[in-house]
Amino acid sequence: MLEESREGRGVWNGTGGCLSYNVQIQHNSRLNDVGTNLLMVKNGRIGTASLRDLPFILNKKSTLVLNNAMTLPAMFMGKLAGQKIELRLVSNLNSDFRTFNRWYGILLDGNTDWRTRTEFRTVELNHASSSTIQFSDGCGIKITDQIRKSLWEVTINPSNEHPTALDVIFSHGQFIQYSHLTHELQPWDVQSIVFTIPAALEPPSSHFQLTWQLLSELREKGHNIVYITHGSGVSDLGYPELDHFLPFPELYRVGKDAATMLNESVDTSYQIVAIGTSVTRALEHNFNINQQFNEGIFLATNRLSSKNQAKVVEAMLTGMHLPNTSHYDLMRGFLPDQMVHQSFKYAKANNFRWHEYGDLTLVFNHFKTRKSF
Amino acid sequence: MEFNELDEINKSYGLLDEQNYPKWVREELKNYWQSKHVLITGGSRGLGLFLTKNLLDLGAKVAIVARDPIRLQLVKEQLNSENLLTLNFDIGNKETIHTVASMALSFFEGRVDYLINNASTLGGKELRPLLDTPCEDIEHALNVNVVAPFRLTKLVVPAMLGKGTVVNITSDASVTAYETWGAYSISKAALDHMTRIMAKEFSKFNIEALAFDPGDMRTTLHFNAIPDAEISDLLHPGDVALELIVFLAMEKHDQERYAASCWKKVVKDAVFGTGQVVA
Repeated sequence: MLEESREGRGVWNGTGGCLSYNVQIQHNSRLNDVGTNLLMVKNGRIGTASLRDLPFILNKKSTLVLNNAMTLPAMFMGKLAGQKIELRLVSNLNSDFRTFNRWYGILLDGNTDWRTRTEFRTVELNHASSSTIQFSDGCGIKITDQIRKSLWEVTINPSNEHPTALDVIFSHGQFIQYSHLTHELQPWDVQSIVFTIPAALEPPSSHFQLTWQLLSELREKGHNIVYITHGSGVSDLGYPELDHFLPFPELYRVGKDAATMLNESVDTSYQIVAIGTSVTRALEHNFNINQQFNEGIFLATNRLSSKNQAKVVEAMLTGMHLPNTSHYDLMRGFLPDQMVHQSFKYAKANNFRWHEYGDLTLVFNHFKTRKSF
Repeated sequence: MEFNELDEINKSYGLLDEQNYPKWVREELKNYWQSKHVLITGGSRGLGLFLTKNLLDLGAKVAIVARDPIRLQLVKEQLNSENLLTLNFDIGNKETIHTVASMALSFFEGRVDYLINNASTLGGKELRPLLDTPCEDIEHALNVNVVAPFRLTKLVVPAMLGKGTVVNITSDASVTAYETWGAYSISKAALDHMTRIMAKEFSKFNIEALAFDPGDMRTTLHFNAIPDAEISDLLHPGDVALELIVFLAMEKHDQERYAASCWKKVVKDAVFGTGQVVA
């Protein structure tokens, strides 16, 4: 059993798991040993720093934007026409963060569990529409429509025992687990220190390394901290025919105070530093509406890449991303392709730790000049 | 000793009752508590129940956590308010505390004004000298009375950034060494000191942390501890709840821990003296 902590995280496979591109996953021993190395990419140079030095690294006054989404359980083990099935929620179809009924989901073989990689758990089900995934207590989640070959729309209906959809989600769901981890993640392993709104299906992993002490030091140095809510969907589905659609549209909310401070930041030349790829996506989408930040709830439909570069976010703090992933592609919205590849090689050579609970990358926007606005 | 709180809550222990507080006080309190978001542990009995009842009457949105599902259902039916969320969880269970926070934060749409850590345990079923107290009773008291408020506070503070108050309900047993109250006393002393540290550390986020000794009340906990306690010697939790609601609304807090006699005097002076009550 892992120790409880909002600062620490799960344990990597101690034998050193191996992902594609021969990147050895470095051993991340205990919860409080979450990665704090920082790969810095700025002005064409690549180097190493420590996250705790962030208040000093940001030598220009900055507005740091965090995601205050709380992670929801998204894995549901049940039966569909007598067959063991896992329903995994992958995208939010609700119009706000107060309702939790409608989702996109994928179905996985329930005879295996999260310890088996999802690409080995795919199932062929062509006639699941209008069926109900039953749980052991008689409760269920209805499959309402087939969107694509492996993508389903599902509806979570309250029951007498569970009067709200959120109640059903917490009563029957588990937090998404990762096959490269040896231990099951506990509730305290999947929440950031700043969560306030149940909204995300996967944790904002770039937030795991943040501490209240670091946030206080950033404030004391004159930097601003702003929160938005981004309901991140699932970043890897295991179904190749769906993965290339990622990221799906994602709901996000910008509060009035946040919008005001972001616009003031633009006006006063504070640099905007997005914590995480989700926040980056939301900020770029929001600003692109009318060249200013807007209060409200929106659906991020954009996808940053070398062809759609980041325009308002001047720096992004994110995890370590492997080639051929959507997050790696997003890095190309900040850096020329060659530099993205060089930073990957540098991190690999310097034993950075990958993925959730690993180290971080601070990438400064190579393309952005605010004068372009 | 029988003391039926559910019968009592609709009697004279409402702020809307003219006999309790002057009209101008009630009006100011309504202005203050209207739309405030309050999370209360141990909300189905004693002080927690009367806080809930009165805060709902004043227009606050309240989420309460309690272990007993039947009791909680009775409270829900009796109070019958769409501004009330009842959460049937054991606050001492770390496996479900995140669910409690998630459900409450969803209900409050991400904003909490007050967290009132009121749920409490003696530790064991009866009071005993320390040397006769099982270690498990001490562990249980520390878990429910200290660690659980700590856990919940950690989860709720992000929703308070900029302005908020953590209220920890303590006891005079935290400062006076009563024989046989060991497990409870030790845990409340720890709660007091945790509150002091929270107060210092949270001040930079404009969040208050306060510990309140409510005084000896007619509560299940007290009757469990002293079955033959004389009811007339004990405060009515409804009275204490009203006073605490007034005191919190004053927002003039210069200590981290308030003894019962201290904060109640402030309330009485403000309400029945010449001072103004609320900010």
